Amino acid sequence: MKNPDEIIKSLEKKLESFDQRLEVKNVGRVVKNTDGVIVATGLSLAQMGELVEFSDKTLGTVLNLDEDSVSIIALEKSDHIEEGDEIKKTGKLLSINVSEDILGRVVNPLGETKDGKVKIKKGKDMPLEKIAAGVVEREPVNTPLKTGIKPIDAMIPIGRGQRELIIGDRGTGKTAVAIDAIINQKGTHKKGQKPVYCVYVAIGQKQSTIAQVVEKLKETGAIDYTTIVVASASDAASLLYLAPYAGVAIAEYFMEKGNDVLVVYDDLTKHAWAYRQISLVLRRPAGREAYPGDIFYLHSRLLERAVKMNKQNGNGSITALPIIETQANDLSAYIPTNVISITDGQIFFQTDLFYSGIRPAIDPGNSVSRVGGAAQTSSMKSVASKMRLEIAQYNNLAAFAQFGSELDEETSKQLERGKRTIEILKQPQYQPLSEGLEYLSIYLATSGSLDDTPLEAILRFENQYHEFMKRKYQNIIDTLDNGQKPSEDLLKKIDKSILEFKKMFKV
Amino acid sequence: MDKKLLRKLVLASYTKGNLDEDKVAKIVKYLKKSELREYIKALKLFEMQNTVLVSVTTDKTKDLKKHFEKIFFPKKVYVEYDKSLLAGIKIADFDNIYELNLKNKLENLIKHISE
Repeated sequence: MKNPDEIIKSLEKKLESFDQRLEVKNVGRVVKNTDGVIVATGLSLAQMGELVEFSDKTLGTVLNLDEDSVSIIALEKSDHIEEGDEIKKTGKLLSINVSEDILGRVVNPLGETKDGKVKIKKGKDMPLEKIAAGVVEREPVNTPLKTGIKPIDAMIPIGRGQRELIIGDRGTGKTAVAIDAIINQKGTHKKGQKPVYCVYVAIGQKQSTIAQVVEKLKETGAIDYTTIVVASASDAASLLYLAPYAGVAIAEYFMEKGNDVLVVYDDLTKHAWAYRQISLVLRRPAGREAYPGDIFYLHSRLLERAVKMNKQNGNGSITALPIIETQANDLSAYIPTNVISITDGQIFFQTDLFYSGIRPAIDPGNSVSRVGGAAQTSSMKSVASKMRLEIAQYNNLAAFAQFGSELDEETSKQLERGKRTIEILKQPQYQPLSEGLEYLSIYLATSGSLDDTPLEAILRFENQYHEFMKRKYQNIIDTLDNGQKPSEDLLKKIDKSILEFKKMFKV
Repeated sequence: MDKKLLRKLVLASYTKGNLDEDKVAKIVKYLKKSELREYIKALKLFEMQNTVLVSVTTDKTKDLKKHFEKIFFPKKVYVEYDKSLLAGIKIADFDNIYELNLKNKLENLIKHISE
């Protein structure tokens, strides 16, 4: 609630400038309104991407500048805009108003609240379109972003400032992994840790799905440090097009203050479809699969804004997790190949793995993190360095084993170890693990401690072992959470705890 | 149709600054349906670009018309009486609007208050 004195002072200041100055406005008139794209004459001084206002206060943005006309996409419902309506230039480029109050809120790409709560306090106007930070302002990715998901943190580690693509067919658990990564950032909002703020951008999703995501984030307490930008399936294509840029603009507000931010774009396939729709209505030349010629630039300029700033420039970072939906696991389609070439790695979800019970259904063979070990703590590196190779060797051997031929002891042992490794990497949804518990789980598999445990009992063993360690050896977990390579002494203590637990565990 | 040719046709449709119906009738005979659409569109745009509408709060419009015709020569000037401006003047020169009236100032104040 504003102070009445402040309001009066502001009005008095405005009235002082109530003088005889001539005001010059540049306006246009609507000539055509087709599918949310409005063609207008006039507006000769309009800039590309400039915000314009129609006579009924509807907003639009300029997307095409032709010799005699200007094409504008409406940012709200535009069915009521008629031929002859006046359009005014605002002199502003598209921006979103961001303040600390935006955390925990659900907004649309224009910054309007969608959660029915109070209006967000006025803050800074962040431009939706911005040139990404240059090479000199950046530094290499060197800090891990822990997702709490074992196969990712062990084999495809993500660093703060990295772009890691999450790609796979529909219904393979891509969104689940992104939400788990957001939930796991709760651990960074403690004393002594650098917090990670999160932005979840829902592009073209069903409103029921978005509501479920919001509910889960509220339930886990993750909503307190997360902003949700919504452009649902029923929104105009213009809002779907702007949503990811609004998300990164919000992230840049926090990044400029030296904070680390995680942005999830769910999903960029629908973003590309929306941009294709707008481009076709604007009569821009269509290329491959009817996408416009600048479809690569659409995503490259978005993802380039994910950055790890150096100390002189605030030391903040934006980590991007774009999601792409493939059709029939086709990684070689147009949009997937575009985004794969932009990002610093991909996490590939396989439908076959999903339906065979391996969840998260991550294919370690096709997944990679180009940042790699630089984004991993010493402790995780020490325990998981050989894991990917072991799984690849197991997959090769498993193919032979299917023929039913007799195998030597060494090969059988390797097969059994591989099965247990894959089993231990399974993880239920919404249960991200701390680094200490991840280390213990992976150590169980790689050290051979599970070789004598039946396959069906592995996950139960893991769960109960975690409970046992939290009860009796919390200090070991706390030491492992630091991320430093465990000493020989600590490894001996862990081995001792495993033996102790095995005596209690009932198969 | 080529934009240069279209512009030539539009300019040729005028006599002493006014649209000549006879000339238009002659031109139209040689145009196809799609070309005719473009020609009409170009004529409309040319008219808009060469027309200035001046709104004033006084009904003594004749003197004002001569004055503005000198300023905006060779465009056509229309002066109208618009009491909704309260006081002042509004000049619409195609896509440029020059406002110096009380109505506009009050609208700006209302916008400032609502922000």
